[in-house]
Amino acid sequence: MIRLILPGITLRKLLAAFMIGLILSVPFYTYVFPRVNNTEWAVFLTGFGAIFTGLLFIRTIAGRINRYLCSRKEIIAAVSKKSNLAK
Amino acid sequence: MRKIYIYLFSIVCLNILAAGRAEAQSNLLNRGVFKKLAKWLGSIDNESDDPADYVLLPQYTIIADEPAWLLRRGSYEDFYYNLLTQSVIGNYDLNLLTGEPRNPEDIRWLTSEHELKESGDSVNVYEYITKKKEKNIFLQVSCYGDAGGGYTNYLMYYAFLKNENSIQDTLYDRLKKIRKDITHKYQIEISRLGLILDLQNIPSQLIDKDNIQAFCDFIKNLKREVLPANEHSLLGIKLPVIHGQNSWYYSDKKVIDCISKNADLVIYKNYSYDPEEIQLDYLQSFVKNNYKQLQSDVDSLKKMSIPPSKLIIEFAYLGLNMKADPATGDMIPDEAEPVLSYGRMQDIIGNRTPGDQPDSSCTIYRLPGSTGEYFFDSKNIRLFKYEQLKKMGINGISLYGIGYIKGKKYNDLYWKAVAEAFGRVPDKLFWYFFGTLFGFLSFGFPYSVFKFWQVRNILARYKKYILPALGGWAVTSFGFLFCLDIIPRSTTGVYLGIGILVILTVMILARIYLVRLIRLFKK
Repeated sequence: MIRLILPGITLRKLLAAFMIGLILSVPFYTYVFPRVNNTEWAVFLTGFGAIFTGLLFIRTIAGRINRYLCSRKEIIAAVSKKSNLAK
Repeated sequence: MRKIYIYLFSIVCLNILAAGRAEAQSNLLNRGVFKKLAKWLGSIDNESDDPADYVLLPQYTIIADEPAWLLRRGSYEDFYYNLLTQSVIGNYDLNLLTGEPRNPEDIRWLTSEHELKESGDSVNVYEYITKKKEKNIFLQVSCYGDAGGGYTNYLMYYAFLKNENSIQDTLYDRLKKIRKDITHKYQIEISRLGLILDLQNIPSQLIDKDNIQAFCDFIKNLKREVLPANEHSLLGIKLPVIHGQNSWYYSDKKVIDCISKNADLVIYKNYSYDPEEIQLDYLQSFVKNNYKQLQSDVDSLKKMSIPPSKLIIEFAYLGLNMKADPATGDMIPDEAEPVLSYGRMQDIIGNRTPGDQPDSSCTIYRLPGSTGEYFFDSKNIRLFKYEQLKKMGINGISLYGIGYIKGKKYNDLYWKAVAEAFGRVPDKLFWYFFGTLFGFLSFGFPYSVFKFWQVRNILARYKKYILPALGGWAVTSFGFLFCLDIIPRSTTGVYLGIGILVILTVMILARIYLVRLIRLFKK
């Protein structure tokens, strides 16, 4: 299921995202806490959730852009024309 | 083509948001789903009619100063604690001749274990003190020199300042015990319990070097004995109105210097008694005259070495009842009922004669054939004063006698003025969640170029894909900046977003149709 949503994900990448999420949650907390009226934990966990999810989806977005561009008709046509010529 | 529809849909949504924030009443917003959507979008911005939705800006101090008898009636029930930083929770009505409280019952009510368990009277205060851990509380030591018993103010204050029969020592001992009892009863840190000194009507005959020194020594001793430095408790001292009759505090600069040096808060009782300065005129005229007086008072206090960071301006919550002094004819506060209640104000408005002010914006009223005068501020006048005081850099305000007003509906108007001037509606956390997500998503666009050679090649070869890619990056970046309020989340910010989308849409459409046109001509 996770691989379906996040293609190419590995345990190592997940752990890296987790660690970066934890570290970046601190500046998030510092910036956001004085501006909202939520508890400390709610702010920290929201920050962690947003950063962790955001980090994982950077790859997904990049992959989606790649797939979108590669699936354009003219690109496919150009690529197949080139491969035919190569044959 | 699907992307264009998405852009168009986004434009419509943002337009509704902008219109909702501007409270525009267009036909589009008055129907069905759009109306509901606009209402929802309007509800997520940072404005509210309910004072409970606000939090105070951290740089301001707001003190509720409530007489003990109102506290005992449970006036704290209707307070908006979110708009208070400190509260007076008890009153030590000082007997200048003995140092003992004149009303021991008020102190007993506050400190007795028995009262807490058996009676519901103190439950509100108890809840306030114990549950609002971040709020500080004050015990107020007050004396208006009205002890009577054949003693003049001069004699009483003289005896007190000279510490005859160890009057001051008795006061220190009682205060220490009360503070200990309160902290024990409510299980609070001693540092949360400060002291406010409200000594008024000190006769001007006492303005000689010895008495000034005695006053300074009293303040210093009070701090040392009752509020030792290691406890970090606050000491506030109340000053009377500068242009009033009681001018002892302002007779010699040394008094103010001493107060400024020793007090953590200087609370100026901004009760404007001077009828000459306030004319029965329209709202603007009143604001101009009255505000000028308030401004000159604050300027004078600053010049008298009181730093604005210590300065608190106290307001009678709604206004004052005044009456003519039988001896001099001057207007003086009605001691029986000094602070105006909303009910009384409504009575005044109901009883007015045709020649009087036609609406509740008038702020002074004299009943026909009566010597009584009533001063009151409308919510807008009060808001104006608060805003001006903020510009002067003061620390905050104190509200005296909030409980005189009965009824949440009327009370809320005045709380709202406090909320609007000194508070803000806190941001919703979801803005920051989505803002952060947008921030990371915007990285996806440059990351795709960095990560995939296909993307680099396609963008280099087919220029038409650069615009949508850059557009997507611009929109997510804008979303990041907008949600985090770096681009202000106001109508301006929304229109900036709409502008970006419109430019992108126009550029994409122009490119599509230009290409088609060129093809047509080539054929």
